[in-house]
Amino acid sequence: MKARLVHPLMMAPGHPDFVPGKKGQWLPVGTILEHPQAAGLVEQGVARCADAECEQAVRITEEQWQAAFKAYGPFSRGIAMEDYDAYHSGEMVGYDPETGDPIPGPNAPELEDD
Amino acid sequence: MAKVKCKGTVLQQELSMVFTAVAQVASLEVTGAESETTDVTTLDTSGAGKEYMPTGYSEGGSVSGELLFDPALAGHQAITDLITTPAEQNWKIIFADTGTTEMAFTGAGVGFDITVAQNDALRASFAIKCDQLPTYPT
Repeated sequence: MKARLVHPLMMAPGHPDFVPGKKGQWLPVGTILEHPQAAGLVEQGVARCADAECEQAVRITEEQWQAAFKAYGPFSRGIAMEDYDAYHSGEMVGYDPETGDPIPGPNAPELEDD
Repeated sequence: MAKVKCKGTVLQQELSMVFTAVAQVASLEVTGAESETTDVTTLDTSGAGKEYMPTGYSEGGSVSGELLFDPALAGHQAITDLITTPAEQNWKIIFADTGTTEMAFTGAGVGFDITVAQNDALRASFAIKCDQLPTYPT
């Protein structure tokens, strides 16, 4: 069965193009994967079905898919649940590796000058 | 050299040829890995210290952790699926350092314990037994 990625994901060793030891082997949004468990990707909110076999196998509703799709972005980046709203609103994009402070996003409120 | 925060660390599981992040992970532990040694102390060993030598094998240990369990979440079901249908699975920890350093490992089996408590959120603890050795960052 086939599914089309809606989030960029990294290739795993099971992928035919995977190169052991190479970093950053991303598959872009739109990549179609053919795999017997491809429906599982749809249920995690990272893909959409790309054939009828997948549609029949998926066990979640459209509403559940939307919730999974929305949640995947922040938790795949390690965003804490209390910061999901700030992530979705564009106020932050992640955490500073050294301070742990939020990294401002495109919609972060501007700091006022003292 | 840096002091790396744990906040932002991600556990990923292989699913259908790609890695997907596991949601709501609260903690991770990589434990039990060690190079195996054997006691080669003999009656004529000098001094009080016992002698050991490496056997040439190493124990890969396991990766365990705790998560806020959502029984309806496909990603959490993908872990419990490994109990109902045992299979080797590739995993990866992505640390929250500047270079997003990765540590990959193959899980040979999983343990999964669910805790329901009156005064707490629904939680689960898991343990993934490593097949061979994790790929430590080098």
